Amino acid sequence: MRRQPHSLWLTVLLAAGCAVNLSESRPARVLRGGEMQISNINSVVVPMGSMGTTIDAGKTIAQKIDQRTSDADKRRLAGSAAAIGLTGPGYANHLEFALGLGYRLDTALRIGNGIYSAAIRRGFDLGKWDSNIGVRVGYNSGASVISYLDTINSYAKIGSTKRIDTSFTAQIGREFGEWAKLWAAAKAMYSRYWVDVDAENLDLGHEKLDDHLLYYGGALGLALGFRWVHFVMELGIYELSCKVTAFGNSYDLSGVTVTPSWGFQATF
Amino acid sequence: MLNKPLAAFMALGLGLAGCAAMVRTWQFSSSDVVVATPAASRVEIRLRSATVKQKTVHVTLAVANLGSRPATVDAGPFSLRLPDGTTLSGDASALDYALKLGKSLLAAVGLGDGKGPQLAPGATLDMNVEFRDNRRDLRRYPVLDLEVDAISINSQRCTDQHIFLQAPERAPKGENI
Repeated sequence: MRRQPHSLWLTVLLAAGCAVNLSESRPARVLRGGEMQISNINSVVVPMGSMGTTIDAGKTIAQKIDQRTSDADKRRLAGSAAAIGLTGPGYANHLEFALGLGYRLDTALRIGNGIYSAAIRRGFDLGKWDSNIGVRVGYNSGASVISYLDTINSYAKIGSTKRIDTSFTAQIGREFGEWAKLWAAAKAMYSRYWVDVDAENLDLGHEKLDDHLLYYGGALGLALGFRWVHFVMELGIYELSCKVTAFGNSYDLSGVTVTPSWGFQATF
Repeated sequence: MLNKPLAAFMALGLGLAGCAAMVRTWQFSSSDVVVATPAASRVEIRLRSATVKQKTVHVTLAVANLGSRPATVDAGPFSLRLPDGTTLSGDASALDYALKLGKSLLAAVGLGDGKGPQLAPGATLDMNVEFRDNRRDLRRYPVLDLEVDAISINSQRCTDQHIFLQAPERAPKGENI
């Protein structure tokens, strides 16, 4: 039975999928030597660019597909699935373990939804303000395929997905006593991907995609709590620069991606 | 389930845990002795322990009455001066504070005199004080200057008396991290 399309926002909030991991959700002050931090962060990725059009086009073809469907339309459908798999909406939850190394360096390991990433930051003391620059390298084994896209994905399956995300972040922030932490971040992420799209159901065989995505933008974050435990909220807004070519069709998916994230963070 | 990346990360943490910059707690020490001799009494104040963590310094002072008469010991807010001139205000531990508040309340309704404990000749009293600063790493200072002015013996303050807390040899002294 085919599911009726929902609004994109509602679907994204309800769906359990996997998303590109753009969230930082850490205050600007790097951890002191021996200081530890554990975070459990949820994040949602909402592409605001031409993704909606791509999804709609893919669904339209998928819902009418039969023996008379042209080869060009089948290719468009398979290409849509690939494009959605790479940059589509999704939800992710991750656990992050961070450790202060001393000398204003801290490191973090993130695990969740097929994402493994490691980060290191160098902090700078600006009096009442803190800042840092950091680099994160991540391996993402998941595609952002969510359930309401089943109609598309039943014809073109995203097989093995490998993605190496390398991001650079500069943050500035301030702490207000032990109650609140506020930060702003600028971030650029280069994501190299290798995706295998299985379109056997459309008699189009397999296609391997090997290209990259580029996100750049910023985030604002706030943590509220006391001393050891804070509730963290971050809103990231990124420009995605991306052109996906699959099954002979080219999809320009450039546009704004919004990523709200939230969760709890314990520091001790 | 503990997977490989997490295990590697924990191994990294444990491996680095021996580095001085990663040690979370240091015990500072001091051989300074403050001697107060009010009204034919002799009271000595020594450092029993100084536990310095990232954001906190917990000091225990031993106040010993070496005289032949009982002495009344009172304590107000303590001060800890950092090498950069910053002064932190320290509060007595929650229990000490509650006891002091209770005594002052009883004194206000006419029960007791609100003064500190009477220290019998030969007796020793432990006094706990905690300092906290969220913006600094207090483990990195080579010397912390504890001002003992806050202590009064028989209502006479130990004016301009200090106990200097010395960082251990291995601590990453002076490192601004």
